[in-house]
Amino acid sequence: MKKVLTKYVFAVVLMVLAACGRKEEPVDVYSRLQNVSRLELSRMTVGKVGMISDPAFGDARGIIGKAEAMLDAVKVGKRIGVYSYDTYLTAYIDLSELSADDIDIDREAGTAHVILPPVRVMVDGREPQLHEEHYRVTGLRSSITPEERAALKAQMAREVKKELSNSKSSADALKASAEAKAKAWFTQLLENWGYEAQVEIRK
Amino acid sequence: MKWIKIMVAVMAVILIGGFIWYLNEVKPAPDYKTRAARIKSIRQMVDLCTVDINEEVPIKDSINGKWIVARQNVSGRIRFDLDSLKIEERGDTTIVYLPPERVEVLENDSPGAYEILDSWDGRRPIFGRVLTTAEENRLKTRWQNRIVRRIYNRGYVRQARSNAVNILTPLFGELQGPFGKQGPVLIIDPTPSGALPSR
Repeated sequence: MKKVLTKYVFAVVLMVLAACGRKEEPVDVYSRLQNVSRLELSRMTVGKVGMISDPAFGDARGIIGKAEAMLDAVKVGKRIGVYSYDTYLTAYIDLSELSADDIDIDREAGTAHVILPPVRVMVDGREPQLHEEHYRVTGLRSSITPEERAALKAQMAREVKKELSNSKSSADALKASAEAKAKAWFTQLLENWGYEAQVEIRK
Repeated sequence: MKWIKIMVAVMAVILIGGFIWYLNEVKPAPDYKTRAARIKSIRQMVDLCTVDINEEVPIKDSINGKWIVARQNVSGRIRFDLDSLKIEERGDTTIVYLPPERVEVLENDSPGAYEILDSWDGRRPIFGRVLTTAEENRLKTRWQNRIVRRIYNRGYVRQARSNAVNILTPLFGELQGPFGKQGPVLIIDPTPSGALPSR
């Protein structure tokens, strides 16, 4: 009986030692992080200004446009409206893209090495309201209509899309800001979990 | 007689040329003067977004007797600011409070996201007044508030808060306690249905 008990205690001690010596399976940390899905880390506000006014004869397009420009030139009064609105872009990390290979936890050494998924940028949306920066309709000129303002906004939105897709520097600035925040926040989180953390972000 | 023929030919050339020019030039959309978009700000944050809503909303509304019928594509998101979590330590227990939700409703960024189908002055059929920018903005704010109320009424906020608790519980469950040792961590949601902002 004594012999059996000694063998049992020895086996338990061996198991405990084995458990202490090996690296922790990163599955737990992995699932905890992966569960978060989208974490938003930086937001950019982009402003755009547009103007409704009588086109100059040289700028007018087509015969009708040219004729309208000539007519506008002889009308009594001025017709100018300047409008602006903001578009919001968000940089985020989608933690559902994290894989188990991206996490290396060594409980014995107390270290955690995590490679986060790349920062992505999405357009959040735009302000519904238009800011009227300037409005001067005088003389016999007609007021600027909501249809004209909506058409101006549509044109501005088309241009914002094009400008943002062409401007690598603005996306880079937003991504850099998000990456810095991600590194700081995840390092802090892993330290709070008791690990000395090393956080990288996949490009 | 010869001069008349020449004049007719010249007129015909001008008319045909003008017509071709009209067809080529008139097609582009009305052109407004714009300035290049510029970055106004970049702000760092740590926001957990648990619900996305995209809707196309038909609208018929009036202000000061002026009516508008429009169609608007909106994007709504429910977020939680993880950068300013309220954390309390009681004995060896750490208590994390789920912050108030931030419900944001914006117009979709696509060019045709806002389309006016009709607008008129209900009080003056002749010499009607035009909806001003300020009036249109007040209507848009009213529509935004309506959508936010609907988001609460449909239970999206309750769902978002419940999702957030489910995400944060394992995330903060292993926090080190006040004395460096691991104690229990409780995630508490003080307002499971959220708090509709008074607007």
